[in-house]
Amino acid sequence: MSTTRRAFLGGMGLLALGACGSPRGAAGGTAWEFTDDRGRKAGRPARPQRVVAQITAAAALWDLGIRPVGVFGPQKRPDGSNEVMIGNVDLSTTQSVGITYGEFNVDKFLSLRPDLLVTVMYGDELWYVPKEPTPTIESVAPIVGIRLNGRSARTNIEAFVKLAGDLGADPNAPAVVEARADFDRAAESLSAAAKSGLKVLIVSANKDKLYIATPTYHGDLKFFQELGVDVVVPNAGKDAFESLSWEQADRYPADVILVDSRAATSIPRAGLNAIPTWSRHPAVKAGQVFEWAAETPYSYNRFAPVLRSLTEALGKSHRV
Amino acid sequence: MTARPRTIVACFLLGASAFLLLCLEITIGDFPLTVPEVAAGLFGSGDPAALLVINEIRLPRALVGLLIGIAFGVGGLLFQALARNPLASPDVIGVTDGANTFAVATLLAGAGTGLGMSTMAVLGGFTVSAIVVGLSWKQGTTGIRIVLVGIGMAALCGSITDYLLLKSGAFQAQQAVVWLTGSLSGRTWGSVPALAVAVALLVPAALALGKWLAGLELGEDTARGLGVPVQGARLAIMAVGVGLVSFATAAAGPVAFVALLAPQIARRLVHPSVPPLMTSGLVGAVVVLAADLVARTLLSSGELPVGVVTGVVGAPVLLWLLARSFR
Amino acid sequence: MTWGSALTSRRIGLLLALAGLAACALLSIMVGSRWLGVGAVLDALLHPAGDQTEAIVWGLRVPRTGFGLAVGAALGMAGALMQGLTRNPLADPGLLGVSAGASLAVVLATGFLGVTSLSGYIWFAFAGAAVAAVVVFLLAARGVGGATPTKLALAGAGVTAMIGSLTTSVLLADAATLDRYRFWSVGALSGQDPATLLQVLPFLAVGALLAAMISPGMNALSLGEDAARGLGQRIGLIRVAGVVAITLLAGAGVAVCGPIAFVGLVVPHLARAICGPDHRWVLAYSAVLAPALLLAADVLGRLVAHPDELHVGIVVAALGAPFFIAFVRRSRVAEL
Repeated sequence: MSTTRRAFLGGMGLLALGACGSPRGAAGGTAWEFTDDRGRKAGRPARPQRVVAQITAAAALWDLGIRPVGVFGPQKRPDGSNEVMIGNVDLSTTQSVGITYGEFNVDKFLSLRPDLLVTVMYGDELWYVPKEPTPTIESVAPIVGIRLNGRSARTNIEAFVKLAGDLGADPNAPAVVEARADFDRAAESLSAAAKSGLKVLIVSANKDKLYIATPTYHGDLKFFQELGVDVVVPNAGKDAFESLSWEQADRYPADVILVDSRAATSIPRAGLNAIPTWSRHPAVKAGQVFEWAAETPYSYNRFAPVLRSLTEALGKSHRV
Repeated sequence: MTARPRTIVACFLLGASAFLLLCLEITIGDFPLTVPEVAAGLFGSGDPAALLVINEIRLPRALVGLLIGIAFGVGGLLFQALARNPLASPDVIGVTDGANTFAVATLLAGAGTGLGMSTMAVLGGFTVSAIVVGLSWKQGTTGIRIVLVGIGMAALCGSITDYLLLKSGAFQAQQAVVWLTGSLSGRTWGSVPALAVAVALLVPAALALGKWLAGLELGEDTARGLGVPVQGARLAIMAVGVGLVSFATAAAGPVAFVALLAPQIARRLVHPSVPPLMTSGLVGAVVVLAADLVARTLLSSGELPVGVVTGVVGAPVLLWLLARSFR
Repeated sequence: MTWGSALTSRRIGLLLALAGLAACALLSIMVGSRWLGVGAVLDALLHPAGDQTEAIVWGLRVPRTGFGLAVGAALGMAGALMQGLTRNPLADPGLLGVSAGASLAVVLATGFLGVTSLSGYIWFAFAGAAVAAVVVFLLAARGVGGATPTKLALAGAGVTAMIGSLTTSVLLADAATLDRYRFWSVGALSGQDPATLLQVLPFLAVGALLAAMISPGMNALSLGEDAARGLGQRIGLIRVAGVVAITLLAGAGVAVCGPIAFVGLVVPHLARAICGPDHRWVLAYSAVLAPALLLAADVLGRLVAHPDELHVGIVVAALGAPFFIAFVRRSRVAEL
């Protein structure tokens, strides 16, 4: 695992050199155009070279060989470790133009002389991009928004592959092809493991409440469903979660529970076990509780391990 | 009347500091610019990116900072004098909370942080304070009754805001928290005109009400003896104060604490015989601009909302003045 | 309908309030997000069977009822003391910097020390509350006159704002802590570790005792400092004891349940509207009415959002504010 990974990273490095080293206008001086998920056309006289990207988008593009000059969004945890959203992005080689939502530093953004802004969308909002100065930003660099909610992980990954390709990365580079094959193998094994028919409940939880994740909203869960995993669908309509009183902990029967691993949204496992209605849930009593790596960046490389760990979890579990 | 020359000197010094801070706001930032470049940029010549930074990003932001500082400083003093209570900032009278609730509701309804949100904030401030006056009215009203009803309404609005925050996703909640803290980040020319008109009309109005205000501060009976039409004066002062605070809140969120802090600092600077409206406004402007300068330059990775820094920049000044003046 | 100022009607009123409180406590055990039926609840109470019903009744409802009673009484008394001490109707227990100090300590403990356990929080919160209260009091006590009402109020507001700013800056720099804090900061009776209640009960008891002891002196103080001195009261001692009592009461309340706003600010006003300005009665009424309001709000929060729940901090204002405004309109507002 670690050797293939290192080899892969080496390949990425070369690819990155190729992408960055090509002189301006090497794309033949033809105009560049990309239609994003708002249906808006982002246009440039030449292919953009200096990209500023929201952190999960940056991580997805990074794995495909694109090296953003600036990123924005959550980056480090207080203890110095990386957030899941960072993926492989090397923060020492990029500038941060803002960490917190609503505090996008336009001044710093312009100082990077960007020619493209890439961000993700949940619904119609361009995440982390301030609304009022958007015209100013767009007068310098067009904005590309990639919608993440309501579409499966594979679709989301492919959206970034398409964008990276248009930005000059080679979608058929050996490293990318290898990562895709690995991802496909992981998806096949999960699909096989799902045949056991175990019911999987995916939650965020804190001491006050339990939140059931909606599979049709979250790209990763939607993909699990597509692979045949029986994911519990809460009564949440179009929302990302249904929130429940702890008195309702066993409202949805389940054999396996995945708990949000983000410190931001869930309390640690020990804290959960102190909640009496949680500790008496059959799946919890059977020890069939595993991690949900929410907000994993959408790339083949980041997702293969996610699929593998669910496959492993299903393999270890039984009906309760 | 020894306070008079002292007030003039204080206003002059504060005005000069505010102007200096305004210039620094336009010059200092992550986009590296020299002073001559900035000067040329203000007259429209230079590199296009530099022009954008100076004229579309920094200048409007600095102006919004200046204007909300004046508005919170003057508006805060109006409320404190009206209620004859140093704790009676607009935060506890429901104006700010009304503006917050309307603004956060607009944000979560998906309208984002644009001008729609500002309009709703102004509307919220006015609606809630109209309700407060209406509910406290019983053959006229008193300062204390307005304040107590205000507390109730503020709590009600606060709980609605909290409810909306809990119902929202983490992303939106975070944006709302930034709004609730008060921020000048991303303010453009769109925020300036309404605020400028409000300040240009309401600050002179407040100054014109100064005499009534001074009378009311001495108590209702004394005021009546001085010939102040008590009920009318209260309504007029309330209306001007609500206008100033609502428009300022709409432009930058409730920049915490300026409305409470500026009047107290102003009073201790000039020891006035009448409420020091002009001084308070200028103190507000200096505090907001100084806090924003710190907020923009302190962190290398991003910037802090100005509302965070006003507490850290302003509170020690107040506490120092408090400790000193009681000696 | 106004209660006379006669002693008997005050006593009857207090008994009625106690009966109301008992009814709220009973409802809080019987009613919840899941309807179990009266019989099943009683059965689970008397014969714990180790099933989900027992987990809900003994594990969830009984502890939160206990928190409601203890924390409500503490906040009510702390609010009455704070308003009496600063002679300011806008004063709430948080004005002493207690909530702000506790919040900062919790945020620092979560963000930098990685403390995540509930029992870990409470000692940080308590320590933060105590430090903030001491700082406010020392600042206000500087100079001539000692800790006068105005100086206490302004020093409290200044320190609270400063600490609040520091807290917010930590939170904004770190989404993870923000999210965890978001839930702590709303204030909730649910999801608290029952053991923490037992840990803070001694502090609450000492605080309540102190409050009862100084309330006659507070009556004298409300006549003015000179009058109080003439009546043989030791003003400085009363103020110090008052600050200690508030810190113990509000600090413990904030530490276990997070900052629950509004109750401490508003209930003393309600109490004063019912029983007049005598501090001893205001204190007693506040100690009963505050937990009743808190528990009623908590029960309502479980019902209106079914199968979800609303935080008590949210419901309490929605429930209490209309009452409060009606009282303010009806009664001649007592100046402090």
